[in-house]
Amino acid sequence: MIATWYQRLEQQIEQVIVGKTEVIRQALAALLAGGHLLLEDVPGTGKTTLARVLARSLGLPYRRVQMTPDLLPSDLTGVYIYHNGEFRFRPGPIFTGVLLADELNRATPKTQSALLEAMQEGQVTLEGETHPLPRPFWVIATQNPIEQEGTYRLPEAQLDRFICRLRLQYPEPQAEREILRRLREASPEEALQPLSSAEEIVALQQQVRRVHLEPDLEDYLLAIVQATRQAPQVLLGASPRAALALQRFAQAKAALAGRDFVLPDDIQSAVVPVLAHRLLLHYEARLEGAKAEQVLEEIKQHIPVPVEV
Amino acid sequence: MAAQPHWVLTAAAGGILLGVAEPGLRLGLLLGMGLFVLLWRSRYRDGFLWFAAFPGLMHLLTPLASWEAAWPYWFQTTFLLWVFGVMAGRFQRQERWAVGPGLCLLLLYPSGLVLALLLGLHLAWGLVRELLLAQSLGGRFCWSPTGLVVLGLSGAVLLLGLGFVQLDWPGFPDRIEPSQPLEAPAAPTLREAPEASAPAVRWVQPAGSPLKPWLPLLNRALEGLQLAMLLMVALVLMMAFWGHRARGGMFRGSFVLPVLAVALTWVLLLGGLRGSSLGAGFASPGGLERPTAPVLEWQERAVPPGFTETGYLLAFLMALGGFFLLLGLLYGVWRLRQTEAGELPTPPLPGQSRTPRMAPTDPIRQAYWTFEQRMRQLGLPRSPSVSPARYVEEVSARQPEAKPRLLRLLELYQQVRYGGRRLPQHALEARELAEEIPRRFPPP
Repeated sequence: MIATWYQRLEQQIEQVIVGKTEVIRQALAALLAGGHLLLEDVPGTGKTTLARVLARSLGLPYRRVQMTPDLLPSDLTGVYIYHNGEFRFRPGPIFTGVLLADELNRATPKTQSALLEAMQEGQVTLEGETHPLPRPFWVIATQNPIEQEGTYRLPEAQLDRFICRLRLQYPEPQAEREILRRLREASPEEALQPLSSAEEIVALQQQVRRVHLEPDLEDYLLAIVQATRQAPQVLLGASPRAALALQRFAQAKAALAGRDFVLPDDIQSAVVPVLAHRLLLHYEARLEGAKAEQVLEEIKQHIPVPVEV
Repeated sequence: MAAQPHWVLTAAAGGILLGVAEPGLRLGLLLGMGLFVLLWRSRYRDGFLWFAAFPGLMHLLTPLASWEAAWPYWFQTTFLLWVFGVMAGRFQRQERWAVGPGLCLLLLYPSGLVLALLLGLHLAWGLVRELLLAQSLGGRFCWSPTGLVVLGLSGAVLLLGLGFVQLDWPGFPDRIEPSQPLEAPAAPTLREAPEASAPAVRWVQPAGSPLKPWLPLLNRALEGLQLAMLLMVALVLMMAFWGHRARGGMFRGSFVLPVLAVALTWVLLLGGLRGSSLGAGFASPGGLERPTAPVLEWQERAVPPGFTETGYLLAFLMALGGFFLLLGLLYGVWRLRQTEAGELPTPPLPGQSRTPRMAPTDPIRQAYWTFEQRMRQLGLPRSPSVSPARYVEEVSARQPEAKPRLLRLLELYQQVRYGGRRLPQHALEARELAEEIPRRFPPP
């Protein structure tokens, strides 16, 4: 069921996003895992387009917020207004299905923090009153890793709320040529049809939770997570929340592949997208040019896959 | 296509058999071997079933035996061994019903001993495979505490019991006879010394006697071996059921016991040979009847009773073995308790560095394991951090023709190993794929 759903979506999304099959798969895995997505890359690589195309294809309500330093938390969450002798809650753009927080690192830490409760608990508390967000609620945030002026680095607590960080990267020459041809006259984005619904996505998210994870693979997953805490280059390793995210993401990848059980490959392919943005490297290691992705690749190389017990 | 070792050995064994057989038997043997090979190909694939043809040749060692007299016994032994091998093979594939016929065959005289030996070979191979696997994974072979206590105590009691029955005890029969592994030679024509008393007399072989001097000693050692093996086999089979219930293997390492029993028995046999004070002489033959009609003149020599007498020597060595086994057991329990109490460093997480491993028992997992082992022998090992899917990709890249078969084997394996399924109906298919791929598509 999930595999069919995925094939349907992938076919449509690839009409607009060319040559990024794995990114699309991982983005949808993040959605099915119930996690939020951080897209990080230089401008013009299709981050915003991907978010928009995903929202349209999924049939979810979509809002885009351009994050700026003067954006207030209430601009996101909503405000109480006095109207006809009473205070009424006016929901902000956060009350949607897919929220694109464009250039999240341009917002002040105070505004960034306004997203924490929404991302973790799916609700917003204002004036002591809790307002549940629609289900599913999916935040797709983007940030530019190059431009640093006028930005606020996302705190670790905020980063930990994103189930994975994806990088679109520049397309291959052949794919770039294909983009030019497709967009020369037409705009394929306009022809996109909603292929799913909120109810269906919630049901699929429940189904993903039932994907079988063998105890040995559980050990394997935990061994990877624990190794991030012991690696000499790492100052801050993966949290228990990261372990949960890794498990859920691997389950979602298995489901997208049409399986009801997780393979070591699902875990291996989830390690970098799920854990890399959560690791904080020592200053010395960063000076030496170490990257979290490299550290994770080394960890994967040193932990044997459970094959026979 | 490179010749497989099993086929070379089978051909060699067949050639030897045909060479030593009487001319009139050669056609039947040839047909029988052809049938044997065909059946083996379809029903049994573990490699050393050709061994079934050899133990029966022991009948030729019987004094005064000829091939004409021995070949029906050889045929019977070979056939029983072959059936037993098939049953053992089915048992290894998780077909538990095979235990019944296997146990019944064990009780048959005179093949019980060699059947038990064959099972011992199976189990020994299981041990070697586990050790190799543990080594390849950077782990080590280990015992579980419960298994250690139960098996250690059983082994010690068994050894002490075997030593006990070697002694002449007042009020007891001469010795407990579990069975008679070899027939007494026809009319050995010995004469008892007039003043002979059993423990103090050594019979010396007269010149020209057809009786092999080592036969009584072998006879006696084989009796002990048979009893040990029968008990051990029954124990192991029972443990196989218990261990199957407990996840992770309650009796990890139980395969080692039959090997220990075989090794110990042969050590005792050698010790018995060396313990004879007369060199070419032999002890009072327990398995042979005392002769009544003297024909040949025998020399006799009185020696003091003690460790030079085979029964005492065996009892002493077995008691010694039992003592050391108990010491080892106590040490093992002490170490395990220390580990549990946290006094010793706890082993790292599974998958992190070294992990106690067992050879797989599920037939499909076993098939994949076999496939990996053969590919390793062919120079294409899987790196420990590489998943089976990626490994199959690597192999497929080198042998694209094998890709459909590789993917099928992988699919079956993944469902069993990571999907928590059992697919006994595909066991044979997986086994065939695991054997066929390395044979037909060796990496270039």
